[in-house]
Amino acid sequence: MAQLTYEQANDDVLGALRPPRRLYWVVVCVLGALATWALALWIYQIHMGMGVAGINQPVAWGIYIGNFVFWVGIAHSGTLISAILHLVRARWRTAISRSAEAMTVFAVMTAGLFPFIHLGRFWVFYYILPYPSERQIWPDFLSPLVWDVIAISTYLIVSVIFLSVGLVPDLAAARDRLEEALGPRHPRSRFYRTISLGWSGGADQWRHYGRAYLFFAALATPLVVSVHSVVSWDFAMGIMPGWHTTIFPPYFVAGAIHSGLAMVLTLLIPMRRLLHLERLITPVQFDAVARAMIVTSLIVCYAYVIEPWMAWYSGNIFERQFAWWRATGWLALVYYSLTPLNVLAPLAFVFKRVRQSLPALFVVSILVNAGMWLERAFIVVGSTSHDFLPHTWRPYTPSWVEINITIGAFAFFLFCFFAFSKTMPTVPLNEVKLDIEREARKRKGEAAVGTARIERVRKSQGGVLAVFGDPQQMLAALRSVLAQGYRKVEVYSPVRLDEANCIMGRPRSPVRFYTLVGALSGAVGGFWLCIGAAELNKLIAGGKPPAAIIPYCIVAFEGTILLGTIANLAGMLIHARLGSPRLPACYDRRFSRDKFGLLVGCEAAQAETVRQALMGAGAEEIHAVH
Amino acid sequence: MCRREFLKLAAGGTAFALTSAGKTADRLIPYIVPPEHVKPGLATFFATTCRECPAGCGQHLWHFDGRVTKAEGNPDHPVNHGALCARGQSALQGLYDPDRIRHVMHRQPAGGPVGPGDWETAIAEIGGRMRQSRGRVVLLSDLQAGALTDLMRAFAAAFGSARPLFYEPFSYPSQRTAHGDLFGMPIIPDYRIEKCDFVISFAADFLETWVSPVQWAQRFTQMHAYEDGRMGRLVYVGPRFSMTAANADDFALVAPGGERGVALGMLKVIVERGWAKRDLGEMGKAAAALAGPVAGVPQERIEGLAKVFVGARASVALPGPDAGLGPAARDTALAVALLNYAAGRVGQTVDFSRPHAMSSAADHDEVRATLAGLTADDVLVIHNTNPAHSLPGSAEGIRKAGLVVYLGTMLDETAALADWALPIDSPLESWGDYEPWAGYHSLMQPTMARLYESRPAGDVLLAVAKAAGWPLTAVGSQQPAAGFEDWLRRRWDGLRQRLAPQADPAAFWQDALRRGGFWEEAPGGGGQPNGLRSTSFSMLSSASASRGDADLWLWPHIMLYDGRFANRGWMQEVPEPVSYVAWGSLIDIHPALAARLGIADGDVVGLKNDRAAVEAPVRVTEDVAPDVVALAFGQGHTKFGRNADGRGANAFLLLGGATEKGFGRVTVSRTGRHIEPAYASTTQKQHGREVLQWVALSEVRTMKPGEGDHLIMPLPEGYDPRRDFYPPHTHPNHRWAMVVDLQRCIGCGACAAACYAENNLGVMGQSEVCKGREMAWMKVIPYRNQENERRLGFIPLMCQHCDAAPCEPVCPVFASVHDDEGLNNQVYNRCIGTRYCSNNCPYKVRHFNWLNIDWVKPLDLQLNPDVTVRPRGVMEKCTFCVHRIRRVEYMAKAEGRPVRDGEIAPACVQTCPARALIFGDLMNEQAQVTRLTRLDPRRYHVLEELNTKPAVAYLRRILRNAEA
Repeated sequence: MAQLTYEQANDDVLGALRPPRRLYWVVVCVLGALATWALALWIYQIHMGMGVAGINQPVAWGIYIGNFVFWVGIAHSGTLISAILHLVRARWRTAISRSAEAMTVFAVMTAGLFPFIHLGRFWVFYYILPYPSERQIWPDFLSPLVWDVIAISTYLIVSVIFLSVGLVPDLAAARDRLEEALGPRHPRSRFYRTISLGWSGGADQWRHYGRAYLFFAALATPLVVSVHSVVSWDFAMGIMPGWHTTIFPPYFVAGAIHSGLAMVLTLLIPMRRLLHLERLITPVQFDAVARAMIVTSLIVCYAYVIEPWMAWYSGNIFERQFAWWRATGWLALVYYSLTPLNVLAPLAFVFKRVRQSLPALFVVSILVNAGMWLERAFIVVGSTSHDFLPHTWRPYTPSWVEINITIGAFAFFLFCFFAFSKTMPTVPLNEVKLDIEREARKRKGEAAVGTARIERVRKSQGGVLAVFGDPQQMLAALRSVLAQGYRKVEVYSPVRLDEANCIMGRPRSPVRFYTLVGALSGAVGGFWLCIGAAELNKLIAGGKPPAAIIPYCIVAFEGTILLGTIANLAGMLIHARLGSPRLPACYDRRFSRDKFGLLVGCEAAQAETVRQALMGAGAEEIHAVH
Repeated sequence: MCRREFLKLAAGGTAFALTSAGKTADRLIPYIVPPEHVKPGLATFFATTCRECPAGCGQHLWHFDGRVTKAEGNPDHPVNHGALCARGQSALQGLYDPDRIRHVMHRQPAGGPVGPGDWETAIAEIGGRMRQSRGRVVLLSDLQAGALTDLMRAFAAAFGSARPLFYEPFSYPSQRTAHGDLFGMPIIPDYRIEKCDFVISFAADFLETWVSPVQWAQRFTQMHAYEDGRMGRLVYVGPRFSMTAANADDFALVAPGGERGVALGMLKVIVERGWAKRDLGEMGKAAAALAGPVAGVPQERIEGLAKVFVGARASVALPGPDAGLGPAARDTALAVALLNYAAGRVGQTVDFSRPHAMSSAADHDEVRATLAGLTADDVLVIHNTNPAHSLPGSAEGIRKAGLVVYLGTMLDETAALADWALPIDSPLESWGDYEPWAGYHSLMQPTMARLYESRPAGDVLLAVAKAAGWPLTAVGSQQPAAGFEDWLRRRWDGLRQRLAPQADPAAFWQDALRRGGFWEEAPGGGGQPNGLRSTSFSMLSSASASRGDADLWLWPHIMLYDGRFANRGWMQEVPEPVSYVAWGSLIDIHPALAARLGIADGDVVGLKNDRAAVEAPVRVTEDVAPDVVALAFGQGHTKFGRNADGRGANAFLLLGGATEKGFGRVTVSRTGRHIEPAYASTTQKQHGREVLQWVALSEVRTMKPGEGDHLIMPLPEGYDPRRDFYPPHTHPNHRWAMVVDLQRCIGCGACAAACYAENNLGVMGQSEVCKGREMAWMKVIPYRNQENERRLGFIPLMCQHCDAAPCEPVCPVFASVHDDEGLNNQVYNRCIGTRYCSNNCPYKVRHFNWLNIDWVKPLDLQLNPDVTVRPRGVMEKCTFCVHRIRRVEYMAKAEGRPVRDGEIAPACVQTCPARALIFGDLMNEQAQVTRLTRLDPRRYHVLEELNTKPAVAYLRRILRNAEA
């Protein structure tokens, strides 16, 4: 990437937004038709009843729930790549993180459909939501399904925020590029102008943005671990043999990341080619993803090995017979397919040649996707099909409705992803540029500290705007104008330049206080909601007393993340003054691409002096702003 | 019957009978000015007599606002003492059958379609034809014993027939013949099973369909229940492991005819050893000479049985099979009668003084001959019986009659042959009486206004006779009867004069109506036989044994009987107890035979003898003797109704042929097709899980009260900090619970059917049952003994109302939630259908509404207004009949007293003939459930290790060891 320039990166990423070819439309139409067909089938199912699905007694949960778990799992690697790797500063993540985040959002959306499709009376789904209603009954916060609702909706909200916030600077770049190409009045220009929220790349915006983004990552990280743990509790909290096991949370989280990474490969290997992103998304990234998959496949392997062992070791007749039935019953074929697909296939990645061969990566990723889908369906259907009382044991075959809706879900997901790839920058452009900048800085090796107190450049005031091609020159110019005693300065850059704020002596962003208050009130609110609802309900369920603290920690945790994230977003929007599409008068469209601006507010009399100083610092252009 | 119940029972069928507009039941508020005893929203009870089979049990009908919703046993009735079988429960579905005849139907002269006619024309035309007729008028009816019998006799006599023919497909002619030949008393006697220590059934399925099954079930459980270390013994000898056989302590699987062999063998032992208490004379020698070895039953075993049979304080032998006809069956009946006589049981446990009404049923040969002898001059009147289905070959005979008049409720195969099909009242709409055993005069009264343009059968006969110029006159009356009700009242006035001359006529009538009838203490019958006549055994050789692949065994289905119940959803959907298959016919084949013929479970095979060929899927099972194929009666209707038509095979087609042993031989052929039978339980193996537990008699005899398992009670005392994470919770007033005595449970499924009726359970149909989607809140699951496959137990499984219910905390919306009386409630309108509760229920007793349930009109009139009809998409399950609990609680509160133990009876408990289910309050120290759950040595909880603290405790089934 080091060999790329800002300009090239800009062209590569935003060039992908060019109008698609006919094949694209064909594919999108097919996907849309499949998704619409699935919607029609869902309506049919609503009309006829759940009986049109193959689920039965005792297998009351079928591949709808399997799909749900699978898609939630797919959603995991996106946040893992964006948030966790952001926190640990793994640079290889940059080029693929945006697609992974988008994948997360679409996967959560797809996953979120399935509980609705699965519900016997989905039209009263809102009974499950905690809100004051005339029914005077609050949901039972002891139920894993309520945890599910809270965790998945939190995850969806946080993922959407995380994705959108990351997009803002790149949307500004897209806006500027389109305005240049199509003119500011073109609908596409207007669209991007609106959704880029008035991003100008000012140093102050970057300051709040950078801090907020860090918190988003910090909040999303525990969330990603919690979500699939909660999903696993849908099963582990049940008393069925094969479900009721403590290994489920780590097993599910590892499996989720495993399948998510596989999906990243499945999506990005073709996308890289179709969108001509070869210079940005390189085999280096795929190699790293493949290495990560070796780790997750080993964890999954551990779970596969430990499950039958624990069944035997427990001495429990239900567990032992269940483990034996898995290997010999009507699901045995699925059982035997899991290890080859989910463990042996990805273990091929220990060989460097496999990791570096795109076809091999692609094939293995497809195998893992299939394997993980089968594993989810297997877990859901297996235990229910073979539980405590033998007279109820009954196999399950998905009906044509279930199969078609499942296919429709894949179509829906791909449809969303296709639409996204042509409308949004699929690579985090600003971060790519930052990486380029960091490479460059490594060569020059400069550091900077400042102490000056800066004031905002007011609109009424005039000033001088210098345009630089090299950020270091711009920073040097900034230093020099500050040394000359100018205090009304602002810097515009396509990347986050922390030094600029350092030089200007700006304090750390106050967004962190918002986040803290939001997170704390989320935690307290979670407990308050649960305990309050329990005290209002005063109902006995499962012989448990109304208020039970341990399960309520889950709700409090999700509350922490949710309100922390929302407060963080609010703080950022307020302080970075985002929202209105209007831009500073002096803003130049190149500031989102490869140019750096330094605006020095001064009286008309001083303008010439400033101009001279900036010229001396290597400014490419100088504009007077009045 | 207590005072309150007596008052509750209405005796005013007139209120409905007189309302000509029968549509009251359709209205939300049926009456503007309600009759005095009908309170909107409150049930009134009408006592009547069940006419679903010839057993004649007493019924109480729940009547809400103009419609009846539930049939229960009449506790005051001497036949059933408050219990009612599944078939009796289904009387409602007979009344509300959507395929009932609604108006007069008339066949066009050209033999074209049956079109609508009207009553006046019908009666005028039929009467006119009879007036002109040069031939006879033949009257064929189902079994009647009462006023209608008198009327029919008068009718037959008036029109040149000797007597009406009472045709019942299962009427045990062989038994009657044998008793006639031996004792000069061609009757079906009363068998006092309850007095016995030892009962041996020779393929008589007396707990299912044989003569009076509810009565036998009650008597049998009195004898066979475990009480104070004592328990009677049942031995069953037969070629098929029937439900009755499953209740036997000792089951001898023999080839068809083997039951006769064992009976003769026992007789021989008794004669040769001189054990006989009464001299058998020549007959003993004749029988002994015929006895030979029986395959599968060693001589020592026969000797042992003979010894116990004679040595027991009281014992009885019962002759079968139920559908057995001809000389072979007569031989068995002869041998059994001789056994009973030899052991001194005649007069002791076999009571000839109270013959069953079935004794007057016509012989099948006589019916066949009469029908075959019909000519174009004759008029045939068929009342409420379906020979075209159950008597093969009769259709041709029927069509030979010049005029065929059918009186019935269903447009069945016989009605389709008739020139006139006249709709008559359902038994629940009509006046009538029935005397199941001599001296038990049971009354019938209309329990609701009639639904259609039907008329009482008696009225039709009277009207026709009048139109034909022969108005009929009741006994003791001078002028012709105005109608059947009048005829009935006159008959009962005669009864009163004979039996209670002092009683006030009106009071006698009212009292009989309320009580359900009048029971004579000791009928002045013929008494006991006082000697033995000599007759001969027919003992056919097995000459025909070489033909065919297997012996055929035909048996009556407990739910479908002779097929008259085949259109009733409940009877199709409640599974047959042993195979546990619903909807459709099933051919049982022994694995050895199946292997020989290359047949697997579910393969459709054809059975063929020289009379007919039928097809049905196969159950490969060791429940039948090798070389036997068994098929039940009841299915294979061609024209009966939406649930019955085209379903399964009509076993009657194979029946007949008096010259064969048993039911003859059939050839078995593969068709290549495969149908998955609708198994309502997928296995009967326990896989070591001890769901249905057994205890040896010798072991339980040594146990004192209080010994045995200590149950984790669904009460605060069940809390144990080592086991429980959460503290206990209390119940302020009641903690409802149930105890199920598995030794008493015979598996008949009456409770399951009662649950369908009481709780508005939907009937799902064959394909849904195959997916386990039946809605049965209560299932009587058969499980095999782990050591001995030939021992089967039945475990009634309903919601266990656990104190730590796994279904509750997983529900996100509190749709599954506990109340303070310990009930696990399902709140339908809060349920969103996640189905997690069902997954998490270890007992799998929750049922999901997978599809819209179609309440075909007028079946919706049966819906119990006290129970919500659930919408699609919600979970439902047993409520312990919470509405019944509440009703009693309100009543007790109104009367300012506590609820008495035993006062509350959920529908299943109420109807159980075996009294296997006991309901009560665990907080009541005196309650029977409290005593049993703490003291009975046989007590256990299903899946107790899960610590769900269930409120249903089971008492282990008893395994009688060889020595006990």
